[in-house]
Amino acid sequence: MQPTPTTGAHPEDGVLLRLLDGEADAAEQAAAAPHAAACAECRARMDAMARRRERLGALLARADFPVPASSAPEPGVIPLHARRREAAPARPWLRAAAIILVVLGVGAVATPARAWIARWITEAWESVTGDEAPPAPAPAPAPAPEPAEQTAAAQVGFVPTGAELTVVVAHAQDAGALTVAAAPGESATAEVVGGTGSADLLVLPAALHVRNAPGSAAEYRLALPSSVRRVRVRVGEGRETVVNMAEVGDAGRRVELSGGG
Amino acid sequence: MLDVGALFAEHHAPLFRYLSRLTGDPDVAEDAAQEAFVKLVEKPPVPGQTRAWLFRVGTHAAWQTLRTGRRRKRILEGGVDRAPVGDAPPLPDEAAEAARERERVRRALDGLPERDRGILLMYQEGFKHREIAESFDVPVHSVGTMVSRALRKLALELRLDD
Repeated sequence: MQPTPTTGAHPEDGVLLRLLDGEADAAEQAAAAPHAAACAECRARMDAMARRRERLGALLARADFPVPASSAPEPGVIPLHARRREAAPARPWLRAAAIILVVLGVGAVATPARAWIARWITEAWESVTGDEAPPAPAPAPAPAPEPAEQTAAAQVGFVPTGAELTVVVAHAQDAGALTVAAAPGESATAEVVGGTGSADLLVLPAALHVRNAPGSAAEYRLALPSSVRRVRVRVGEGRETVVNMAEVGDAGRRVELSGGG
Repeated sequence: MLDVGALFAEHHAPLFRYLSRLTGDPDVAEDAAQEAFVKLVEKPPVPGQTRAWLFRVGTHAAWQTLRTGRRRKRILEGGVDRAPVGDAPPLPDEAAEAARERERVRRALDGLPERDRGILLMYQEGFKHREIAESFDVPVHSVGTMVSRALRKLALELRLDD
């Protein structure tokens, strides 16, 4: 091919890349596109950038870590978002939590876990308020539910998706601990069981996030089914404690959350 | 309403992939991805910007984790190549080859300045220059320059022009 005569200086690589990506603005288009289209050297530079991008993509893909299977959303993965606020002891219902349901991977039919959650909400509502429970989530088919804010106990339930669960505690506390215990069945529960302070409990696949406040002295309990064999508890930016569930006794294993350890 | 389940299904794997490329540490990547989704639930972004928002938040979470040094010890101890829980262990030959490839790519990526690496990797994920510029707080016109410079450097390190 005969090179076409061009005018003007060669555009810099950044401009050529924007032309290549269709991201050049009108002024650049007008100034650089005619030159780039007619200039063999600029076309070669653009070809080289496209080739590098493609080859780098293939190389990165071959070297990728596998996506953790435990994080893949599946029917039955039911994370909940619960908030517990400081309670007034004289009025137990004020100790209640606002619970926001966030359902991941809702299948076409209600899963056992989802049904379990529905039961749990019903029971929690009744135990706290003494009122008739609000309607449980419709069983099947299961549309993505509205985020439901309800007054209930400061407890969240979920079905762990893997053999390892990570608990991330946002801040070291002044006092308090997380007690990890075994639970029958396939479902897990996490709850604020005492002490003082506030915390959000947020469950995502393979992780429980405790969004506590610095200086909190809250006590937490995490009850896990036998499918979970190991729990990693991270406190703030500091230490990590690994709990082997096979070594957890009937009373559970207590992990201190205070700064000193 | 915010359909976190659908957003998780759509964005988690690409986000984890990007963050593991960015950091070289799948544990940091998974933690940062989880953190991004936690923040998504707590404070959802403007609709239509969720993907770029998740990548931006995940990037900063990953950098924050690395800067605390919490993970550095584990990296030095060689704990990075562990198979994530739930995955079948790869065959030895495949694992060795993947490890070699990963190490070669890792060294090349680590040779880039942190910000250029993030910009290049978001570019490889198909983001618009504007989205990348907003994520890394750089002028939009500098994205093309940074990407082309990073590609040129990696072309030498990884023989992309051969």
